Amino acid sequence: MATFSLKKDATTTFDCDTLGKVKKGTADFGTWSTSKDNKIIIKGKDGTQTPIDVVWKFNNFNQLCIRDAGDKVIHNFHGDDAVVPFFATGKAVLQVFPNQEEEFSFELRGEWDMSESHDLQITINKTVSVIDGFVDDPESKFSYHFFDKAKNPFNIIFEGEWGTPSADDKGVLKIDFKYAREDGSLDTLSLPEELTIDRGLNQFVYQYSKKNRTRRIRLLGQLNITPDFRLTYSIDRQEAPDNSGTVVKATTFEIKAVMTKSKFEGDIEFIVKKEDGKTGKTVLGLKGSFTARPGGNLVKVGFEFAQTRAGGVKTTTVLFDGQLKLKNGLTEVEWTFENKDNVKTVTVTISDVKLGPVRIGSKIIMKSGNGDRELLVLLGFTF
Amino acid sequence: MPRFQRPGHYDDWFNMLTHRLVTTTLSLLMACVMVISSTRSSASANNFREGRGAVAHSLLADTSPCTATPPVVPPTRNQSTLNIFVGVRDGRLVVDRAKSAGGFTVTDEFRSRLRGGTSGAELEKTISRFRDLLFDDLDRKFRSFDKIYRYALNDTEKAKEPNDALTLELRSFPGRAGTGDWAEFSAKFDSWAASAGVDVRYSIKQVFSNSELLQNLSSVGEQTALSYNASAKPPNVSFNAARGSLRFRVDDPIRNLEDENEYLICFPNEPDATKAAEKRKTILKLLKPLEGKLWRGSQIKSMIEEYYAERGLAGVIQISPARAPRKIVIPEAARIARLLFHSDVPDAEINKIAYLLLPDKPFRLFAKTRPLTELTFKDAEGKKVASYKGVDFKQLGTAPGTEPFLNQHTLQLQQLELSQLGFTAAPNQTPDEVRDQSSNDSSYVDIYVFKAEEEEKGEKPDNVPEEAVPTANNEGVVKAQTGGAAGSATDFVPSLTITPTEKSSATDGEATPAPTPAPDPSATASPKPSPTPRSKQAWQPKDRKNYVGFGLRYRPGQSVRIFGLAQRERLGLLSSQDALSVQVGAQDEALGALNYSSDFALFDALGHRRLSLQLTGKSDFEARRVFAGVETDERRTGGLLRAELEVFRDLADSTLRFYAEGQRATVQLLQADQTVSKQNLTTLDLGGLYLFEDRTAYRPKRVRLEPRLRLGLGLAQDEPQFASFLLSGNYHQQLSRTLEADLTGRVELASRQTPLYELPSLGGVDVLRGFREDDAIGRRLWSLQSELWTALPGTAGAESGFRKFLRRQVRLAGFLDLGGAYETTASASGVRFGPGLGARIIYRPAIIKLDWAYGIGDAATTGRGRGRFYFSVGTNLPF
Repeated sequence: MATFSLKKDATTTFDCDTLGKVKKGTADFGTWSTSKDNKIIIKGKDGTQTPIDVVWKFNNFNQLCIRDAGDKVIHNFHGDDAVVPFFATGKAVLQVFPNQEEEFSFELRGEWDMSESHDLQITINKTVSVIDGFVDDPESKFSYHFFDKAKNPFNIIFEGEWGTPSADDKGVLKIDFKYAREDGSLDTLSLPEELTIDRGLNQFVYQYSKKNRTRRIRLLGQLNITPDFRLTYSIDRQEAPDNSGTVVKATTFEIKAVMTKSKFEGDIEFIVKKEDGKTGKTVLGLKGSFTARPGGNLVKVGFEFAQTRAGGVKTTTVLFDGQLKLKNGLTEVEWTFENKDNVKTVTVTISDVKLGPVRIGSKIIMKSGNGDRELLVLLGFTF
Repeated sequence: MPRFQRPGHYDDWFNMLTHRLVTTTLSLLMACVMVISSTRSSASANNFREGRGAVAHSLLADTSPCTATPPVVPPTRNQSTLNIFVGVRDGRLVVDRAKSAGGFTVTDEFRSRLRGGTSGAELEKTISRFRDLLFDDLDRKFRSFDKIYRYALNDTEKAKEPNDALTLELRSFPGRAGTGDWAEFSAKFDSWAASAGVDVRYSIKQVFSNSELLQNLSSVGEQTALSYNASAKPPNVSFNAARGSLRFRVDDPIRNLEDENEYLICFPNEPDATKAAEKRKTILKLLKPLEGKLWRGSQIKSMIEEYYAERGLAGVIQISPARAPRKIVIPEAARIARLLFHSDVPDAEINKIAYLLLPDKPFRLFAKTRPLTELTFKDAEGKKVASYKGVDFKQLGTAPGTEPFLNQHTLQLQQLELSQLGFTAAPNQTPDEVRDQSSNDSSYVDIYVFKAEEEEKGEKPDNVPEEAVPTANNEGVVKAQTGGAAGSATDFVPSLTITPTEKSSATDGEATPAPTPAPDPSATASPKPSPTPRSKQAWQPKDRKNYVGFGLRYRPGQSVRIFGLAQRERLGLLSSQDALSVQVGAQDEALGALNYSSDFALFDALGHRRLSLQLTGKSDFEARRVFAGVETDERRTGGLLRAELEVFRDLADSTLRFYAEGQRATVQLLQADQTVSKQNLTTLDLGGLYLFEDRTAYRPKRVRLEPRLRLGLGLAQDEPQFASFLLSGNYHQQLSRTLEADLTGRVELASRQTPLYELPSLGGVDVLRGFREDDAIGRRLWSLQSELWTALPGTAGAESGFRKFLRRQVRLAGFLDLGGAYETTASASGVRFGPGLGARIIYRPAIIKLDWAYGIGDAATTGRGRGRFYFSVGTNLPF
């Protein structure tokens, strides 16, 4: 069993093991744990408590070590290949099990941050550790994975909620995760790369590449487009697998974006807007099809898309607001969509429109003084 | 030499008997209508046919179980564990069952939920069986994973796919048979990983982790009673790469499904609390066998979806994972909100289309009030155009929430009938502004009706249903049939207008797509509630005015009869829905018929009743009949005029038709190619059809009654004057999920003056199998054909491949025919039996029937019964 020695002073040394036991000389002295300010507390059987200042730091191999004030390693929890530690987080407190086969654990408290290269940083008593790993999860969780030198895998999960995405100065859509601290306050883990929509799933995903491996967080939720072309997304609540509580709170956000399509064909696409109202770089596309339906007393143009939800496929059809206008002597059809943020005009030349036989789906016939013109707006069809 | 009846007066007793029979039959018929209607009314809460005019209903508002807060799961629940060791087969994870046998530890709570007490050998056997079931489920889940080595590759290697010898070995390690040892595999794996250089490939420890291979286990609870807690803390961590072990929590078995504190079952498309409660009872009955068993989401989903699919209903069933509050959401099917007639549908045809698409009561209201709303489109300059005419069920006396469900069985038949009128129907999601669907998870569709066109273009979208298989009547007129006649549905389980989607493959395999993905049967088909056209190419349906048909029929002792037909529809003579058809064939000698038929004749003038007319000229030939022991060929040459009036259809699930048919023929009998008799025959048939069909009940059933009185009019001096009466009936009832009973009976009576060739004949596929036609001929006859149908064993729930075909298109039948003939002519009087086996196959577009039976009893043709085959196949192709 691995042990390490801690000096209280020049004459007093405690020998601690990874099961939480402490010896003084050859005699059993008591147990050890950590305090809220990350000191090691030696608890004697006689009830005495001896705090010892140490430095907690992950080294370059993602190994958690105890160091002294002179940065000398006192103990490396990964030093014995036969003993694998285990890490967990609860309310952002790092729980360390020196041996994954044993129940003994201690806690460390620090501030967490995310670097531009997806390294996780933890600052414990002003000592900054960098954990080289990656965030990846299929169910919306902020789940951070890393390996130590012996390639042992570790995984810590932060509870909290996803923030509202916004475009940065360059116009790239970014998202934060707000993790919950022990005291109930929230802090932010900012993800450095672009948030987008996976068109195969019609769900938001945070996807990036690190060390030549693609990683992603799928944000499971319900996508919607409002009739005036605003994108909204409701992220589903995620519970802990052991029903111990909520890992990801349900949140809904709206993306400021404008529709980019000038033709009703293929996927629908939006480009996000920056804070200053100018268009950014991130293009959000949904896989689906343009459609037309009688809505109320009008035939409306809409978009239909599907999402896998709760084990089934949910299809959503959105019928858009807008006005139709015939232009240029009936050679063009123009739809104009307006909302408070933008005015979008889509013009389709009649000659590009498939005229002719009736097809399955909706058909709009526009009458004019020059006679009828048929404009086919098909169920899931382009024109 | 046969002794023919001479023309003469009816027997008095026969007149009286006939009169009484007709009167009694009609009375019985009407009584049946009333009884079945009232049965239907009382049972309506237990089925799915709401919306037949029922306006008053109690609506659930906030108390719907679908939106209710789910009960809290006590922490003592679901604490059993399953520790397994993995092995490798063909490069993929498998459960090493030998090593894992002792890894199932159950709690007292778990044991208390098992049937048969909490101790004893039987209980332990049950627990072992459950353990093996969980192993099976896990193996199924593992098969949906990629091959293990793929998780070690970086993006560059994944794109390139290494192909060296070591990779090849790992890819199929240790082969398809047997379970490879994890330690041996791990050693090879790490050597292979190291061979690519530092940090290029992951080691087995990195691969067997929550970020890679085991990430796919997060959804295992959706399919079976296991939950995988990736972040379970020591000392009970979830995985150990060195040992190749995994730890799962096993969810407690189902105790009492009726306990609403533990199980929520809700119906988002059923706002009526009383009906929802009845439906819940039905589901409880269906799932009752699962009590004491594991909560396996894929199994429960499959059972419920299968149940509804067999009834023509398709909705996305949602089953919560076992560890969560247990909830089953059953949308049943979308309800129909509106019928929308495209502007190219002629106004004169809308009533007929509505007749085919609406239940009787809403249709009568529709025909009376014509509450069509024009859906107009205005451009910015105010130009207005009508694109659709629509009617909402709200306008037809149907309250929201009680509209009919979209039933695929019904829709297929309607599609066939519509196509004969030159139209096509397609359901599509109703806009939220017409029916609010987003706030209460209900789903509605509109039925769009379009005119078919000269040419077909594009690919048919998923939301356009298959048509029922068209069949032809005896004279070769192709028409849609209803009510259990061959071709009344396309398949035993209808093809759905929805597309099954692979669920777990999308969630599991997406990060590392498999080069050779393995099917995951646990990923049950999840139908789409509102189909999206699958093609970007628009589909333009072809107006199929023509049919060609072929068929053959083998009847024992009478050789094979082959025939072909051609039909051209919508000639526009007597009505816009008329047809000219010709049938030619042979059974030793040529036969043929030329028909003109007209449907929906005088539809508006008759108060929107469907009148079908048929005028036929034909020469029919039936080879080798047996009269008094002598083989005799019969040829009938003449014509017929038939008028059939449909009094109602789809009224409380019932249809009633009456018909009159006048027929004039010359009947020629030939023995050894010599004419032995030639006689003119003029008959008048009066008959009807009553059909009650409840396809959506817990035990679907069908009743069909067809009385027919035939009067030989004796118009000329040499013509026979006689009367005969036939009452045939069929009762079809589902007995269980795999068994259906089918009873067909007939009673025939004939007056003394009835000519021999018109007398009731015992034998043949429609009367008594095991015997050939004319094995007994008498003035009185009865027969009962009792069949027990079953789907092919092992095909339940099959959603793909050949098993799906067998499930949907094939039924096996064991049967016992009984029959008796009395007052016989040159044959023994008395009862005969015919036990046998058969198969019914619908292999689009053909319908195939094959029967074998062994006759027990006297047979005029062979002295005694014997084994006989009966075979028929027919197809009618529209183009």
